Amino acid sequence: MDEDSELLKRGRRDPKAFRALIERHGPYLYGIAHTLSGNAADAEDLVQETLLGAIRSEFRGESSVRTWLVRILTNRAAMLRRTRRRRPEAELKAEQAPPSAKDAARAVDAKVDLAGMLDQLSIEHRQVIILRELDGLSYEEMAAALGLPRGTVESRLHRAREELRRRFKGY
Amino acid sequence: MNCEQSSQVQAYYDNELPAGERAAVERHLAECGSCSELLSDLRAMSLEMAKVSRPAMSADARRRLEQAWWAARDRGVLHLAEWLTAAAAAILVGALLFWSDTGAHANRMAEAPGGNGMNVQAMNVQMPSEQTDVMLPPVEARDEVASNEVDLAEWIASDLSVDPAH
Repeated sequence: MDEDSELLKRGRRDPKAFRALIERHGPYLYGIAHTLSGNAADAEDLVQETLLGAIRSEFRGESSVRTWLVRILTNRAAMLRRTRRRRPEAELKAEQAPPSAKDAARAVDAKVDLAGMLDQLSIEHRQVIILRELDGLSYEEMAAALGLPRGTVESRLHRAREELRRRFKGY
Repeated sequence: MNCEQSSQVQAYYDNELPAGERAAVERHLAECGSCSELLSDLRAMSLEMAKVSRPAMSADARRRLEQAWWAARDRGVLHLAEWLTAAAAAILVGALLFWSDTGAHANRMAEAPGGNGMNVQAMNVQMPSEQTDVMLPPVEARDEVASNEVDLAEWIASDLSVDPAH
């Protein structure tokens, strides 16, 4: 059993093991969560739910622990997105992060607000773009992280890039 | 207008093609303006994407994560406490039913013809159930029958009333 699996197993009872999980995977998960959700509060919640959910679940070793955690995270983010979509717009606006927090995640180059473009993609398209472009996952790794067939990942990435490219060219 | 090879170009860009297919895509790129433009755009988008800053997780956020672990643990203990309370209640009910049944049985035995309690079938026919509720076994007997279960239930219930947080 590798170190990550061992930490997962112990993390349910041992706070030190859980802290080690946070140190090893928290920042990486947080980066993805922030790009997916677009704000710090949701990102923190997503990482929290992911790590606590992981230590309460059984890791079957079908992928690396990190890939498995990303899978949990992306599922939670998609659920959050769907929940938000069902709620009234006024309620959502009240929960939006202040502009300063949002700006921190935005592109350094103000001319091409790629983070803003990512925000406008569907959660499915955003997931594949983030995992490929920002995290450099291979198609196989993305398939494992998203729980999808490789072919689906490829076609989804293709469509997501086409959409992003249309927006990108609009600048 | 997109070429039908555009998905192959993306796979080429992502370095996901075997060598033979890469060579084929490179030949295609030399001839297809649409695909070479796509490749150029993919590179430009990646460059821009690399500029997207990803905020680091703050020390406060890490601390809150650790606190969440303790909170989850406490909630787990509380769930266990709820479950054990339910178990204690079930034991109490069981003890009371047992006590009730024992009392009724003793009552039937006392009321049976002949008083020796050996003819149970005859006793059940002759004794309507309403009458069996009238008589109870002696208090000492009741306590003896149910005391162990009640003690156990009370012990569990009182033990669970202690704050499990620490």
